[in-house]
Amino acid sequence: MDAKSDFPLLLRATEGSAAVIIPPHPPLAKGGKWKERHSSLRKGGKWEERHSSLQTEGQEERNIPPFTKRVQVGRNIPPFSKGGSGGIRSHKAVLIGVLSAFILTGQVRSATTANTAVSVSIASFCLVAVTSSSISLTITNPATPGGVPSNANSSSTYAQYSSTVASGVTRRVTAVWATGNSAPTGCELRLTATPGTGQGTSAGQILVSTTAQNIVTGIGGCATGTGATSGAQLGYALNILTMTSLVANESKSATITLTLTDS
Amino acid sequence: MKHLKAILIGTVFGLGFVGLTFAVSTTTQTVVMQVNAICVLAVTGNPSTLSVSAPTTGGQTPVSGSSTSTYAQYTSTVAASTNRKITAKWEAGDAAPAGCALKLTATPAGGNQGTGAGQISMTSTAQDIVTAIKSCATGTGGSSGAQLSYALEVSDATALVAGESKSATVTMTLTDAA
Repeated sequence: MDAKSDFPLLLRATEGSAAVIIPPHPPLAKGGKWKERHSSLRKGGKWEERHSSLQTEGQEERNIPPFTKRVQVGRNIPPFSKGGSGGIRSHKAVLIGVLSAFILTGQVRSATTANTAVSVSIASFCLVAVTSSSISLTITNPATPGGVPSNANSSSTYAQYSSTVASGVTRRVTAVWATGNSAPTGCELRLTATPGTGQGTSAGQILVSTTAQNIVTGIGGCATGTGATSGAQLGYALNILTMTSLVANESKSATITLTLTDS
Repeated sequence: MKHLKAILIGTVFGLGFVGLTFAVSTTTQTVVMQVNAICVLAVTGNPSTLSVSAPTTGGQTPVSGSSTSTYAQYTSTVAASTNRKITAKWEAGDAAPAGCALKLTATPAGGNQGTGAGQISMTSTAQDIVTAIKSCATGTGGSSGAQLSYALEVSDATALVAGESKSATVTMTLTDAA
């Protein structure tokens, strides 16, 4: 690292998502090192950060004219714990680490640079719930003796969700039941989700299994609402596959997990 | 080392921050699925009138009347290792014409629809006509189910009374096998 690149950098995240990089100092004398002192002052009802820099070369110190940066904050700025280049370098290293993480995960789609400020703001909501935690499906007598009993259906519950996504990103709702769950002998459980307008697209009817399958796709930013009939209507169907396999009074309980996740 | 530590902290912090964009939310529902015990039986209608008619040749025994136009239709679900049966009887006081006997044979389609118990002579005591019925649905078509074959047989030609007519109510019951 050369002298110039060793200029102290300071990233200060403040309330309101502002972040400030203190502008670089004058060139460092050959063989010199930076020593930094910082303080926070309240002036005219606003907070300022005052930066004083020293260059040292051996035992000699050279004062650099102090400069003041007004920062946008809404409340008290904690004073810097220590002056000196070591603390500043730690801040710099942390900044490098944070930026590296964004780059590694590919989440930073564009970079904006300026002399004085970089702002980063990510807000994400991803919440799903159901209007009822319990559903009962029962195969009962057919309408006519000799007839196959009707499939048991339930469409009384809704999946409700709130979602905010980045531009070009969508989410989906998947359904799965726990390992070991099964339908009664001779039956199968199917599920169809029917979302409201702007709440995604139905993925059609699925055969519920231990593998998560999409039931709603293309969910962007939305809030389904919380009314009793708001959201994606969940249509469960207990279908008879083989009449001769049915077992009277057989009862099975299954736990269906609905997950709202990025597509 | 100090810088490496700081970079590591920053990376972890950054990953945690980025992780918010891979948000996942879950919820669960408990679905209880049950198959009720089902035991329902019907017949497709009443048999045609059973009449003892004249033989084709004088001296022969009169011809028995018969009907095979009706079916017993049923839907059944049974517990494991259990089965059902169909019994038939007529009411106390019912009787065939003098010198005659009413016979009944049920012919199920097989499989879980059960096994025919052979021909019975109708009495006021319930007798099996189909056994070993398991979970099944015979169907509801015009010829679905166990075919019911009624026969009014002449048991004593000397006891026949010309013009005698009797009506009997036959009751069939689908029930658990003992």
